[in-house]
Amino acid sequence: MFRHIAGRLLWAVPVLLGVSVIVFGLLKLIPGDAAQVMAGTDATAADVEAIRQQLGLDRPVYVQYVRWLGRLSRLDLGRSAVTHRPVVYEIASRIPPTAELAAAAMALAVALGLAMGVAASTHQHSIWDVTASLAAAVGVSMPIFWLGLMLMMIFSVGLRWLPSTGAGTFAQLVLPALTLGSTSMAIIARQARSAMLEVLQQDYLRTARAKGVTRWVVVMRHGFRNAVIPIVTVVGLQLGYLLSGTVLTETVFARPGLGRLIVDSIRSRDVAVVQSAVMVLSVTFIVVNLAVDVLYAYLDPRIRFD
Amino acid sequence: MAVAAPPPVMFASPRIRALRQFARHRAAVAGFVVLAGAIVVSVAAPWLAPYDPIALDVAHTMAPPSAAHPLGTDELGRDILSRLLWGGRDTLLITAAAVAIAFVSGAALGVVAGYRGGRSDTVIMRVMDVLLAMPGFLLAVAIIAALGVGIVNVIIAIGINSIPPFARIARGSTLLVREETYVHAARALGAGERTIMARHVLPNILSPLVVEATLRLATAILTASGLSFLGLGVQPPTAEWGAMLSVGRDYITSSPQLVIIPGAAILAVTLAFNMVGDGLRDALDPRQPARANVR
Repeated sequence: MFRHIAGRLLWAVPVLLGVSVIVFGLLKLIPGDAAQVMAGTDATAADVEAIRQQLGLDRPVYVQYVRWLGRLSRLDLGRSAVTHRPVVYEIASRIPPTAELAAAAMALAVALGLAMGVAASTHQHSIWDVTASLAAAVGVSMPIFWLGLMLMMIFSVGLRWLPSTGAGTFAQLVLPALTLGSTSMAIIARQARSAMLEVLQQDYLRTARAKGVTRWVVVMRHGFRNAVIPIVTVVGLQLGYLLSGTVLTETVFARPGLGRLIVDSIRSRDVAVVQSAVMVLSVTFIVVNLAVDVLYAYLDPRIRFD
Repeated sequence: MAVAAPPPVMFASPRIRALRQFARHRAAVAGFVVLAGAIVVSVAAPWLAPYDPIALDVAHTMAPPSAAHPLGTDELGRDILSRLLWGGRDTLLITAAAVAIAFVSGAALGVVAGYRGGRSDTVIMRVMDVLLAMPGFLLAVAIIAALGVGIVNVIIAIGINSIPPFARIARGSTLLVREETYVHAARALGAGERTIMARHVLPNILSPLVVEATLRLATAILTASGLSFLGLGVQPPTAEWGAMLSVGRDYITSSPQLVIIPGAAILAVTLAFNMVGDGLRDALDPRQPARANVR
């Protein structure tokens, strides 16, 4: 197992470097002059030149990349061209609403998705199974920004049960979490259903039933525990989807999170903020998938004792 | 002596068999009908649309559905039905072009990686791994941040974003096909590497790629309309479904139809692509288990 984990850890290093090259390279392509944006519209040519030197923008691109990587590792991300506050501050203050949203959406997706999927598998071809499959098909195809607006229309504008914007309270979390989690819920439900159906056909399940084990124990202990591995993989991949989904969800519900920061910073050409925020979300995704791989090794004895 | 015609059912060609299999999949057929309708209506939008999609009519803003405007008018008095029809053109064009780019480049990269192996394989697939290491929609957003907004850049962003799955599938299938007798035979007859890859490998790995393309179209529609919704894609006043939603949300209390209609259109077409994709997978590639839809 250690070899497996060590291999995954080592592999993450070039992937992270590759992602950093992409993020750095992409944002180098932006037309317009970062020094000019920072200096403002009424700066003299000498001012702009001074800022360019100060930022190191007069050096070759690979020098700029290595320096940027060095600063990134020290969390020295420069200053926002718009607010002039340190980028670290801008990003750190946006992490809690996004983390809260992603965690709530994930919890909702896992809880409801598993319940739907497992129930559909034990009652295959029932009306409940058909409904769950239909809901999953719609959930996978749902434009979440539209779902968010529809939920807002029903529960905020129509029924006035829940607030439509902002972050901080539990009530403000419900609709965004439901919106963001819907697609993952559908995918987890599908995966849980198919993984369970496969396990439920196994001979040892028939044996368990034959020796008189109660239905609940058969399904949960003999069935679900053996279906968990493929489900865990899907859940891990969904986190990446949830992280990018925050961009849309936070825009719909006007939540002051990282996703919205990225969109706002693209509009205001705040390159340093976009670069750093995209890096933060990508690194989170890579780390989570790494954690899933390790968990996978722990859950699957075939890997654990290899 | 006349040779008896072969019984049609037992010796049906693989293509006919796949078609029959597809026709049995009710959801897929329904999806196909919806898609065919959406495509016809979008292509015919210039003739079908009752009004100019960007013509203003300030005397009749936010009109409810009526005989003159079957779906009402928007905040600038533009006919919603006309905008919906024209918007379908843009949405479908963007997604089709993006997936075509990804299909062609992904298939080419995957076949080369799988057939050549060695260093080409390592380099190509490691780059794909890095692209996959970034959350999909976020990568598209980052590409738009670099290139700027606009239809062409949305196509490029979604195209690049969708290459890795095609490359992976093409590589995997090529590894299997590479060892087939007909490939060995072609090589023994002196066929060049390119000829073998283009004439002998590619035609035999198309099925899984076509299935992937159909399912990717669904994802691409969501990405394209999502980008436009964020103001990073198609720009107003162009009638694109995501862009229509983006404007409509400001009028969510007064004129909910501005939000409901374009979103329902996105959902319907995405659902149709997914259902057709599922049906095609069952018909063309029965070995492959249900794919977890990953974005």
